[in-house]
Amino acid sequence: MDNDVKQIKDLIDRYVYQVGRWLPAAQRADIERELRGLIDDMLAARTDEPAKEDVNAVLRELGHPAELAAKYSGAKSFLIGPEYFGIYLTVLKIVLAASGLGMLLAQAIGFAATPPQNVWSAIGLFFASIFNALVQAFAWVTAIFAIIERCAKEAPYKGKEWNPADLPPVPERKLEIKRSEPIVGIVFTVLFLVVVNTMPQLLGVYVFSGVHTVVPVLNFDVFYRLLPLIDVMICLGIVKELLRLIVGRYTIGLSLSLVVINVLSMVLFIWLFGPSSEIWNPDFMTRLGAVWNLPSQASYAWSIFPKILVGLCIFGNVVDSIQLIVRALRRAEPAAA
Amino acid sequence: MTEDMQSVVKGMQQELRRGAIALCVMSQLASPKYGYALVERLEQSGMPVEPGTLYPLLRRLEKQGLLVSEWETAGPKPRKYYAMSRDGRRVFDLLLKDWADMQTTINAMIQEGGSNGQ
Repeated sequence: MDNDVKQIKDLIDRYVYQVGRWLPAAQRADIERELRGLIDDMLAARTDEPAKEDVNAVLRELGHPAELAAKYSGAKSFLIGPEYFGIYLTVLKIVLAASGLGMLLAQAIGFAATPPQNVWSAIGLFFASIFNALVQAFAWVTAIFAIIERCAKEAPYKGKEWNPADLPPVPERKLEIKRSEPIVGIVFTVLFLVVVNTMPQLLGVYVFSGVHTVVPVLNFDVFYRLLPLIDVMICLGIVKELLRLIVGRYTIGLSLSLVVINVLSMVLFIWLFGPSSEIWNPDFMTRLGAVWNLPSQASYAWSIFPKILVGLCIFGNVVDSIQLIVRALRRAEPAAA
Repeated sequence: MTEDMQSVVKGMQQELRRGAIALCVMSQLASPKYGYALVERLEQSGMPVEPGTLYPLLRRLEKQGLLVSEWETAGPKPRKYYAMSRDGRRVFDLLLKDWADMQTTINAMIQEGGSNGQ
């Protein structure tokens, strides 16, 4: 008999513990106390001398402890709510595709550049790094959206008085951003990000003279020191494409934001890769000259190469910014025109 | 009825009851009661609510400020008593009116629908 009482107590203890386990600490003790009272009352309603079977029946009636705990916590029991779920899925698909594809291509290029010694370990590495890239992509996107979900208590459109007149016009053909453009942009930028971070040695000139070698364009000591900033610059590019994807049409606000991002990334680029940067491999020409018969102008060309790059960068950014501004102005004109 | 249809019916019944349960619970809490007494009361009245649903509901209503609670430790068992707060009474009166209106409207619609169909 004593044994039975002990078993009953033990069973109730276990159940209450499992319910309380994941409850917020502040409420746990109180809920546990009330739950014990409830089990007691339920047992008393069944019989004066409860046996083990009675406890089993009562606990079964209360339901699985996890289910009961979920009813108690009631709080936001989701990571990403319905307001953001649609856009979350879209972004997740794009980023997964981009990073998976990026990693796949990067690995393929890597193997082509330096054929692996051991085929099996190479295949293992191949799948492991693709898997890793996918997991990372999933984790980051989910984490970012979970933060958005918790910071923005309500979807941006809630709370304000909603006026149908505020509905943005269906964009004109010229002002519409086709979904595919930013998606392709994101895919390639992520691919670039993967290559730069995992196998920067691929950024070089491929030389074949009996043996296969790559003459790196970069000075790796400096490169790794600057890598975080390079990543920031590449991510600015991703932000730009994401903005285009989300807004979906050229507005004045979008154009201005994109121009600001252009200026920012241009400044970063000039500082990172400009003529005064030490990121370039100083031995590049010497090593290349050892293999190829180079004309005398070659080292001059290499010395002004950063300047040319900066020039191209400024040119590209200016052209892009002008286009953006023109589009913004066109948007500002009355639609009747 | 197929099994699928049965689960559809069950879901709809639950949905129908969900809002009404809070109303029933509040109706019983003009004076303080503890959880299990309420379970028995509701069952006798023909509105059985599982304890696993009722207890969390009581806490939710308390958190929303509709109920107040107090531990009663004088008796043989310590029990948590719940009662409507002043806000709770006001909300309850409002809901009662809604409930009555809804009942009238729904009954009228059902009758109307029936006569139109013939």
